[in-house]
Amino acid sequence: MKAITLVEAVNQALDYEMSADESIVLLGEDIAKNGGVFRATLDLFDKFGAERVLDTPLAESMIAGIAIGMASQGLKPVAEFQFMGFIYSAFDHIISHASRLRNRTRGRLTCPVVYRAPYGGGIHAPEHHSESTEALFAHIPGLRVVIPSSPARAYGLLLAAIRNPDPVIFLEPKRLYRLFKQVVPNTGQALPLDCCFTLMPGDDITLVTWGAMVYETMLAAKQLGETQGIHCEVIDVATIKPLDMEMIIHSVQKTGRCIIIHEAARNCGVGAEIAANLAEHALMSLLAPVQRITGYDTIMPYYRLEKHYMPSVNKIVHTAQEMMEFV
Amino acid sequence: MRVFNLPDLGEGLAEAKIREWYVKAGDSVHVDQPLLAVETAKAMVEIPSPNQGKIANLHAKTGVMVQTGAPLISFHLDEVVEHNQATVVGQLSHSETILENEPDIKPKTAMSTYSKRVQATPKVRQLAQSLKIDLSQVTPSSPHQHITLEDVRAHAKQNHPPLKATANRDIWLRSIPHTSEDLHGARRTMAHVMQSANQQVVLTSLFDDADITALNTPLDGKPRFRGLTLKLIRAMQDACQEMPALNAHFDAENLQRHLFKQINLGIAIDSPQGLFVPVIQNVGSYSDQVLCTKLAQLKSLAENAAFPANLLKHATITLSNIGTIAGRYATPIVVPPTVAIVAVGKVRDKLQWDSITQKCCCHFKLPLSLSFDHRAVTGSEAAYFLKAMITSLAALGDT
Repeated sequence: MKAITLVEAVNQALDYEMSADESIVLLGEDIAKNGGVFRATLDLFDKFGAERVLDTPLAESMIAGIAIGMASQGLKPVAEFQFMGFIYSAFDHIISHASRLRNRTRGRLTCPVVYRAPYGGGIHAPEHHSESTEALFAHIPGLRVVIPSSPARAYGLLLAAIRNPDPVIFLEPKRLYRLFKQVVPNTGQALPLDCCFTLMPGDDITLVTWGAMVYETMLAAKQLGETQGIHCEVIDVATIKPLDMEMIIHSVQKTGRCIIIHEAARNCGVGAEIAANLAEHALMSLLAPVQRITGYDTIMPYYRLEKHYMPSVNKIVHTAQEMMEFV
Repeated sequence: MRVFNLPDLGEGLAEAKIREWYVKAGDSVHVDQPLLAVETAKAMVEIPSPNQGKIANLHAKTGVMVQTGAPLISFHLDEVVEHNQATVVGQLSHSETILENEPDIKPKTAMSTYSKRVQATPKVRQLAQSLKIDLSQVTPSSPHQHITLEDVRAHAKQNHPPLKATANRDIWLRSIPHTSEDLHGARRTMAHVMQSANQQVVLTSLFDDADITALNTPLDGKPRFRGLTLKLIRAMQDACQEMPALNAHFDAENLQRHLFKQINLGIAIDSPQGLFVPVIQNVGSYSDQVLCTKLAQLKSLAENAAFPANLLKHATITLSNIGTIAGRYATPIVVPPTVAIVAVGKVRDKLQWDSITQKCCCHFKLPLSLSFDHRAVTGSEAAYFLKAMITSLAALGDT
């Protein structure tokens, strides 16, 4: 079977589910004839036609609003924002309506919409194209926030997001879009939306991460294992909201140490939520203070400096060593 | 072929003078590599390469003034594999690396098999650390199985085992290849006994040589000292008779010493399993022949590391023959309650001036090291003991 990239896995999941479920509609800027700015929706216009794959005007607020209307009337829209940095004008619709529709109507209406957006830095893009603001959505009750980090998880989690009856913010780490490939059987098998994924088992230290930072974290974990004998347990959170704390706590109770790695700015990031949960529920097991390795509390810099903004393999390795020496 | 024209290097600068070329036609260059330096009306500026490729042609020589927008360099561009990545901004990294298939994506199954760490708050851990208490040895009293501050304090009042190797050292150890083993049997006993002896005894050592030239019975021109161990035992017997203070036990608690007439001689024997000190009870009661048989028996028992426990008890003084491999003197450790041990080094030859015959002649010297517990034995007692041994060994050759 041919190995595919993460962006191809997104395409494969959309293709599979649109074939299986006629109520699914795609909308976004340049997603139809052009196939999307990153080619996530390539060939879907040709296959499913203009009624199901819609090019919209350059108006994110409108994209979000139309999708809510569609979702409340029986369609399952999958809307694409070209970049996460363009999403702010759609906030009102997403926060004031999409997240609340079920509650507002006492369950009579749900809002089965998926808002897809490429997110994160590392591709030498200009302003507004590199930020990681997943925490903004994770704070809102009624939204799910899902971030895959491999072609297989992109496929399985996107299927699950589309099938979910409530709104899902589906953030795709664009730096990983074509960074590696994986064999992803096109079986229509969804992955659970409420659990983390343990990518590497270990006893010494738990590395908790998501999105593109999974890549650096895995490199660091391998390096720590091979050269220092420090065995890391690597957890891909995958679903930022609702957070599967049970699995993270379990791991930290075993290892006694935890580093949270995320690309987003530190202050009030999702890492803070995880650390707070560990303080509440795993304090008795901790052998060292929980550490966060994150972006800085600045605007994501222009691309010449973006490498310095994002957590590096070296930083993870160094922090892990320090933690092992803490006790 | 791509032609690179001189860009506007300031705000509306019309021209620039070429000061230096860093590259020539045929060179391969990469993006951002400095190509040349130019002088504008405002400054010296280095111009970096906009492309990756090979330089086809330089359109102007050093010293020439070039107009903004005029051709500067032609490149043969490296062939770039085009990916349909389409993005209007940025550049996606691209590779053909294949990820392994997903590991266990039913993560909850793994959760049943883990061992919880010791449950304790940081405050409790800090207290335990300051008291050098291993928390895994503390029994939690709280219904939630948390160790409390009180649990640690209660544990501290009892005798607690010392803290294990620190995590720090543990981590370093993991980074280099090595083999680890738990000490057991005689090697483990050695570790315990030596550590405890070293902590208790006030060890003092005295060194000298015995002249054993007379014991030499050469074979094929090479020196040979037959039955040396037997002779050493006899010499120690003589020395104990001369100075009974060293054939004794010392009771540090009650500050008593027990002097013995009978000599129970511990003989330190090395084996791959560790150190053994079997004891020959009352050596004085045996004939040379019987003693030789007993020594031979001990040797064979040592090879099998099979000493019955009663054979390892009640030494009153100890002999250690270290010298068969290398080494002249040593500071052997006295094991309480005994107060003395003699270590014997390797025989060596030595030229010695004989003032009577007015000649140089070869003598054979046996290095002796006597360690004693200075709590129980005085320096002169030890010296008399050593002197008696030396005299006895020299005399034994004459018989």
